[in-house]
Parts: sequence; C-alpha cells; structure tokens
Amino acid sequence: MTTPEQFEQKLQQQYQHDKACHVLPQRVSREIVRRARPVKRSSGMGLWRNTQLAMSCALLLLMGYLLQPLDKKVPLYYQIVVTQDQHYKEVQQHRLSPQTEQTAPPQQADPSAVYQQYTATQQRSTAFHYHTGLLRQQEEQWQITVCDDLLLSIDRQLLGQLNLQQHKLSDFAQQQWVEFVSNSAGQLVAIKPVSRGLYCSGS
Amino acid sequence: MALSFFISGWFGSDNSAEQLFALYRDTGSSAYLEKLIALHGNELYHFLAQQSDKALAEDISQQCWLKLIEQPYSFRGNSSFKTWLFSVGRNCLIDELRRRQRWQADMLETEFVASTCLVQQLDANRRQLLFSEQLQLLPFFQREAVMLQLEGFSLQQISDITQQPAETIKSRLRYARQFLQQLAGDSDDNA
Repeated sequence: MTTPEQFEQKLQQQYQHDKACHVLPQRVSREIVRRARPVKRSSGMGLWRNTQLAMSCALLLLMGYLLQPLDKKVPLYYQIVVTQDQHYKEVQQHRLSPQTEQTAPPQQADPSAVYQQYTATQQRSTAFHYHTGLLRQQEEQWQITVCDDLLLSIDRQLLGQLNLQQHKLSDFAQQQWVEFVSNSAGQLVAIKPVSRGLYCSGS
Repeated sequence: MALSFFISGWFGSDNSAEQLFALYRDTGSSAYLEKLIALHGNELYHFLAQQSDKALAEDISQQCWLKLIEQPYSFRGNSSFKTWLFSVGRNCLIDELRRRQRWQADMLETEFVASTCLVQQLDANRRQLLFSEQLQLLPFFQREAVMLQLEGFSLQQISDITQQPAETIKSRLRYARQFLQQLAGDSDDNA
C-alpha cells in the first residue's frame, strides 16, 4: 500500500524524469536568440533617435535663451538734463534712460541712426554744431568741458553707443582734447580726438 | 532598482530570472536572454508539450519568448517572472488551440466525471502506462493544475496563471491526484 508521502515522492520523481525527457530543442532556443538580435539593433536605433531628439530640444532651448534678450530689449531714450553751476554757465547731463521724465515727445535714441542722418546731411547741414572741449574721465562718468561755458556729462552707456570716429573708448586718454558734434536737439552725435586744444580766455 | 541589478550583475554570477530579465531589457544583450531561456525554457516547453504536442510546444515557446523580446515592458513585475512566463505561454497555447480548432469542450470540462470510472475502464495493459501517458488521460485543466503544482507553483500562483479561483484549482488538483493515485495503486498492485 502506497502512503500519500510515498505517492507524492514518486509523482515528483516521475515528473522530473519526464521533464528531463522533454527539453527545448537547441535549434528553437538558437532561433529565439537569433531573432532577438535585430530587436537589439533597433533598440540602438531608438537610442540614436532619442539622442537626436534630446539634442534638438537642447538646441531649441539654447536658441530660445539667446533670443530672449532681444525680445526683452526695452527702448532707451536720450535724455538731456540742463542745470546751472557756479563754475560753468551751463551744465548738461547726457544719458540714456528707459523712461522719459518729460512730457515732451522723446527723442530717438539710436545713435547710429542719428549719425547716418548726420553724415547724409553734413555737407549742407547747419543743424549740427562742432565744439572742441576737454574730455576727462571722472569715475563712472566722462565729462567734456568747454572752458567755463559748458560742462557736459556723458553717461557711460551713451558713450559706448556714440560714434567715436573709428576710435575705441580705451584709445582716449584720461584727459584728451576732442571735437564733439551735436545735432539741433543738442544730442551728441560723434566725438573724435583732436590734437589742438582750445584757448580759453579766462583760464 | 537598475543600480541594484547592475551591482548584483557585477558581483554575482547567479542572477534570478527577474534580475536577468531586467538586465536583458536594459542592455538588450542576448547573453542575458540565453541565460533566461536556459533557466526556464525547458520548464515552459515541457508544460506546453504535455498540454499539446512537441511541434506546437516548440511553436508556442518561440512565440512566448518573442513576445518577451518585442514587448519587454509587458512584464511589470507584479508576479514572479516564471509565473508571468507560464501565464503568457498558457494563453498563447489556448489561442493557438482555438485557432486550429483543437479546443473542444469535452476535453476540458470533465472535472465532474468520477476518476474511478476512468480507471475502471482501463484495461490491464494501460495500467502500466508511463507517467506522461497517465497525465494524458487527465482532462486538460486537471492536467494543467497538477503539472503546475509539480513544477513548484503555489495554489495562488496557479490561480494567477490560469485566472481561475483558488477553489476551482483545489478541486481540479483533488480529482487529478485521486486519478493518478488510483493508477499508481493499480500499477503497484500489478507489479
């Protein structure tokens, strides 16, 4: 008589023996592995496609970042503040400002456009005035003095945009005689170094 | 998770099926697939062969592994890899049997037939059957249940693979074991 334990043991032995007689043929497993390889290659292609996609996204982000300041550029207005001083007859502060402080219509600030206007009309224009003065750097500001008649303070940002007649700002000495051109509105148009200074009767 | 697989893959040579599968899915290396097939390929094939025939078992085995290759994320880790593999294999087999019109009701639902009647019908020669032949006398679902149990699956895992309630599986196992026990008893008596 077979006990349940003996039966269980015998069943398990028979099962294992039967399983050993039924193994997956080698050709089938080889075929499965062979067919797996193209999938592996295609996953490589997928990786390459994903890389391309990621690079495109990164490029778009970079372009967006680079173009962002252009979109955010706010218009600047040329501002002249005229005051009086005990040493000079007239003191002018020339600067670029994002906002107008006057109710008067703002002047066009683009110095290059103004300069083009100047060059186009310089032959016949009487609207442009030529002055000679002494250019000096005073900390963050540059100043041009015309004897004791005029003290002209120029904002550094404005100076960077002015036409310096193919000179760089760094070419100017700490103290330098210059000829500066202003238009009819009093806006500075150009500055160029000159060798001859100005004779001031009072000095 | 990927790191743990990487570490275990680096330091240990004996990976579990789940680790091998994750390594295969992440790297696409056929070496891991070969190891997986070596680990469970024969077991699945044996199960399928007992439930159909060798040719169909080869075909279904191949289908089953190719599904794994083509849809690696179909295994979500809700069960053991082996449970999932057998579940896929079983479903593929039943679909194929239906397609070939070899899926007949009379070979399935014989659970209520008393196994003793079957034994009594066997003549003396048939009582000396091989184990595999004895298994073939069982109805499809009873054979399936007993084979899965002998393969080491728990009652719950068999229930998951077959998508049948545990009580149904218990019933199938009871009938199948009674039948096999009677056959074994008769064989012993005749021996």
